[in-house]
Amino acid sequence: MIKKIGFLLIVAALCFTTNVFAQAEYILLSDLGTSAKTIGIGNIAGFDNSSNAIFENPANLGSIQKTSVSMYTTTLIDEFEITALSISQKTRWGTFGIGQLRGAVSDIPKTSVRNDNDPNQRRFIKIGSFDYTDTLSKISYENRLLYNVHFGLSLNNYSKKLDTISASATDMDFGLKYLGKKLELSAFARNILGSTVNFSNNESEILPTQIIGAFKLDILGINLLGQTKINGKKGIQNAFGAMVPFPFFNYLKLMGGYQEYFVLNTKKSGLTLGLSLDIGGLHFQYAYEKSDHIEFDNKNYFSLSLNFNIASMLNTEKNKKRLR
Amino acid sequence: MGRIIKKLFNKVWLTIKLRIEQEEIIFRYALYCKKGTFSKILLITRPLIVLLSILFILFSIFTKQLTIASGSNIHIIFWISYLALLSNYMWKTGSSKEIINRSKWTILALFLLQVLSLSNIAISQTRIRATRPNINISLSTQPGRIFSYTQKKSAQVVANGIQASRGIQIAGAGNLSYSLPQSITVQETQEALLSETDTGPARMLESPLNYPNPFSLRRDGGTEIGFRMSKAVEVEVRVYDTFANEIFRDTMTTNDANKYSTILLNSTSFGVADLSSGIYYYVVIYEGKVLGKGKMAVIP
Repeated sequence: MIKKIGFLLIVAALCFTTNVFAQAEYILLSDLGTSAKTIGIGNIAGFDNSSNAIFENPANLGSIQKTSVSMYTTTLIDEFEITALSISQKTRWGTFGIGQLRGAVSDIPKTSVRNDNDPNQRRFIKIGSFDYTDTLSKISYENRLLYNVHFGLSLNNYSKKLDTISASATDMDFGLKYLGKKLELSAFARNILGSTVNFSNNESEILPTQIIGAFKLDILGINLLGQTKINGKKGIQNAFGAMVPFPFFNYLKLMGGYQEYFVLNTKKSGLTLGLSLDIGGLHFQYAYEKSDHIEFDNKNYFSLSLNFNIASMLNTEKNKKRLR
Repeated sequence: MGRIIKKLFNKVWLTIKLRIEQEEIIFRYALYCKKGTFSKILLITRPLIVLLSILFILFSIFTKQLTIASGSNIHIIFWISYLALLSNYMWKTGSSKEIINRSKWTILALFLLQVLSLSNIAISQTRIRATRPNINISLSTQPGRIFSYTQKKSAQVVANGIQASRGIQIAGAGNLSYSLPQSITVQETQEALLSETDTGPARMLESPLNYPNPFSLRRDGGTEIGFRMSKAVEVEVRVYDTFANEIFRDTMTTNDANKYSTILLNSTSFGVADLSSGIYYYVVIYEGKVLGKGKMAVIP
């Protein structure tokens, strides 16, 4: 046990090396939010009780009972389609999860110039088109450290394809989670190795290392959340959120949040709203956010997750007795 | 009056609550019951189907991004209704023969409604793209009709040399349908104009494109957005990043219809030495309306 803690402290210390403050240039899809629930509470990561946790704090896989399958989708500006699919399974050796977050834009025009030397006739023409894809694949593992403390590790693979140029990189996440009765604490670091994304045109971008700490407090059934995020070299972002169960209708929860985020080097802030519907093991979430775009000024996010016990489902004799 | 409203509200509220509880019971039953694979999948996804159909309708009305009148959307609602209906009977009976027998009249009624709705929805014909913008096109359609482009722009068809023709379907939002004389050849993908005369307020004659695309801010020095307007006017150009956050905004005075207008986007425009790789979007706005838009790809 002491060796375990010692190992984890060394890993945590590595997070505070100079790699933490490396140049942050690669855009992470996870910065937008990895599930409607996360976005609905102000983009506070680490409290999604489904397999989606692999895209946030892998230690949160400890809150899943047995098996979980999750889906998440959104479309930005009617062009950028983002989808995520993940699955996790609790075993006697710990919880394993696998998933992929993918963003894609199609039909981007490839252009050329006509009559470049004649300013009166000079114009741009489309000579073809290409697609863009940005993919994050993850494999995660979680286990219990102490009674209420869990740890998690994720192996990340980033890949990007843009016209004839492709890029890839591999990195790791590490997380800790305290699951108390009224209080939950989450701390995790993304891309702790500070890897470089190498492009096929001999250029590179550095994966930003992020350190995120958050809490969730239950006061009379209302969940209050807060988060501080050190985002590479950009700086510190804060977020606050709340989840309020609907009066006399506990299946439905209202979510709201305030988040800070960086656009280029400028810090901005915004509000988010959301709804969460839980029916048995089926969870459906929706989140809404205002957009800067003049035409598509709404951002809508949808998530669906199913938490169930697959072993019980297959054991029909046991189920017959249960149904009687 | 107040008591009646309160009574009605309580009744509706209780009905919804009981319905949700029933759905939960059905869902739990579906997870563990011994039924055929198709029945099981339908029962498990039943709450989702019902919820999706309600949310779809609400989403269509409130966000205005989808319209109920649009052809493909109406059909989605009908297909979701069929599935919801089947799953309802599946919960009550076990035999597929009995399910079809019980639900056949309801399904028939839904199908008739779907067929009737087709008469109000345009069937999309060939999507025509002209060889170059501002081409003179002779359209066989009725004058004064409103068209909708795939980008949801609309243009009034001017009655200059346009003849009515039978059998032409006028499109709803999202599709443009018309027929062209055989003398026009389709080559490139530039949007065609419907009007033969260029009078009235300033319009975009050539849609915006940026060159080079893809580009590197650091190595190529940036990119130029180019387009052609029917008149020299002041327009606004805005650029958004991958997550729809605004990163650039500026106004410019365009050239007239005889000359292409361009605006340069470089490090100074964005205030950074380099942009992260990805897709960025730009729009050209005139008098508060988006006249043209495009997407550009940044590489390191």
